[in-house]
Amino acid sequence: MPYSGGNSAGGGENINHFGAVRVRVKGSGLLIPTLIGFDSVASSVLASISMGASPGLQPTVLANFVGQRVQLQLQTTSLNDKFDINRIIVFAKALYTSYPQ
Amino acid sequence: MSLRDHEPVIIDEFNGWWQRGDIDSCPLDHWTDAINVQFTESGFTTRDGVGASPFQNKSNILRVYSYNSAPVGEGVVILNTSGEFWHLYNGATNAFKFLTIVTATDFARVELFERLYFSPSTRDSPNGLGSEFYYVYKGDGATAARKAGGTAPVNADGIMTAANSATVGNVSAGVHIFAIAYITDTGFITALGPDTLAVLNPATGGFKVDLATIPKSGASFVTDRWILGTKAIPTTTYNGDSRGYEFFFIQKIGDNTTTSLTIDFFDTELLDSADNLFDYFANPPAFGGLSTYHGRVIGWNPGNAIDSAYASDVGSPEAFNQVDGLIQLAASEYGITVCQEYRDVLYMFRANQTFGASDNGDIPSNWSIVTIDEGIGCGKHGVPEVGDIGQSLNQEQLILVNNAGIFQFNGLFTRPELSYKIQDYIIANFGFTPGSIHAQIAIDARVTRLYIALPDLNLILMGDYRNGLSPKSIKWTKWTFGFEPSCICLFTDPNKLLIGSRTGTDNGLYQMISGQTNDVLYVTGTVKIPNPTIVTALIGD
Repeated sequence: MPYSGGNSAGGGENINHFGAVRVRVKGSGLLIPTLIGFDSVASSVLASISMGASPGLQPTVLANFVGQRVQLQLQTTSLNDKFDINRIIVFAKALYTSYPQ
Repeated sequence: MSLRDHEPVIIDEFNGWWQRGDIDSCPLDHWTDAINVQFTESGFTTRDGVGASPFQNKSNILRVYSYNSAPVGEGVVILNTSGEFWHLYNGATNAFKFLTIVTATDFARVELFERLYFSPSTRDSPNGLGSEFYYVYKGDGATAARKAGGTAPVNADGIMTAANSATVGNVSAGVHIFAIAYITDTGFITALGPDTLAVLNPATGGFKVDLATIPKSGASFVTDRWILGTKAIPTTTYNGDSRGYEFFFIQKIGDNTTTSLTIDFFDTELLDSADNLFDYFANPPAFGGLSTYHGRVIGWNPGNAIDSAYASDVGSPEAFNQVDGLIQLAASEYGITVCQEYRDVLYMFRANQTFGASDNGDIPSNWSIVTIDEGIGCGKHGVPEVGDIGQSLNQEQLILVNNAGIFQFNGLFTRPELSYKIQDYIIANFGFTPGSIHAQIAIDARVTRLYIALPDLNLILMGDYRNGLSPKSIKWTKWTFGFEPSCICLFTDPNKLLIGSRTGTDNGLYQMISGQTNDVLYVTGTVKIPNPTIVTALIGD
């Protein structure tokens, strides 16, 4: 088996605060990041990242999303938008160990 | 470094789409969804846009193949929903309709001697089109395709007579029967004729033979003729059945005009039997698919017969012997989908079964057939074309698409399957019968990509194997367009991916254009690439 299931860097499944997303991206147009929680029950569209051919930095977009785990969606939606991405960083901090029982 | 007490979760490896198990099963370096992206060495980018193909556009395209014709160079051949077969070449300049069969919704082809041999079929079944034929097109952009093969001379072409010549010769005493076979411009030798054969009863012996009223064909593609004849038959045993004796090739007439000729031969010179001319299809039926093996054309599922294949004579792509050339499998429900040579074995696939036939030096009907797999086979168009040359091997193996996934085949199907990462998607969406999914696969070995057109799912599945052709290393993504990707092929070098669309407002023939940031459609015009998106795996603490 090349892979085993359930290995997407899960830990203690604490409740986390996801505070920012940083992307090494070049391109043109706007890149739209969205954080999506378990089962897509909660989501948060973050500020768009304006892409350029030579940005000179890795833009950071602040977030304020609380959940145990999160998926990051990156998307463009307009004519001539184009992205070229080679690094994604999601900043997270454990807040609580569990939800109230 | 942390950011406001937040620890970084770094993703710097991107190994494509994962759909196996639930979302929680997706590894961190994969995505739970990937649409309209392509891979770079260390990352990913928006896929290239599509635009008009380099050829004159034709609408409603059901199938497209590359075709490198001797007279006019590289181009493509297409079939549209009107049953029109077009040869497109010389950029947007030339388009030649070489045949129309209104009931054809698919076709297969092989290129041999720089001619196109093709066979109409239907999109939803593995067999050839009923009451139709196997065709040959010379690729000159001017001469329409015609049925391959040719019919024997008939009395209307001339009722040949044979008489003892006054000239001394070597023809033995006894009864001699003479006949004519036509030779076409593509090298096919017809059955002998005319209906009434010339019987010299008897040859006196020691003289030549004068032939008169030699049949000549009214078909423009008949260029030469063979004179055929028997050895001397004792007058005492001749039974009057003029076709009941063995015929031999005697002399070639290098034209289709000569009507009288004097011939001479010793019986001992007659070594090359023409008996098999009785057994060939005059015009081979339409096959469900075509391939090559050991210099033969393999055509399978002729007409409504779904479990038989025919092998042509070696080097004679139109000569299908109805007896010796038959390769028969046991009856099944869906029939043969693909035949493909690999490592000197002819593999014969059904949707869910695989057999191997080996050329043992005997006639094809005597080749041994071995069962390889009774659970996995290959779909119609499930064997790839690698590059634009119509061949199928890449890295000394076959990549096959079937209802169970995308497999590497090296004589056996290897597990895990190449589509391991997206196997849940495959199982949920790939149907079993030939008409339930119309997948077509192509491989661009130069940029290490495989493409699978899935018109019923309205997408192309792209697998990037730059890091290795293995289930673990391949990276998958989906490509969608503002039209149905009905069929694909790779054209020229560097390979262009051509995409044909059979239906919808923007149907036509497109190409992927490197660096283009939008899609340019024939009717709608310039549109965005449909929302390029990735969704990462679940990121935890």
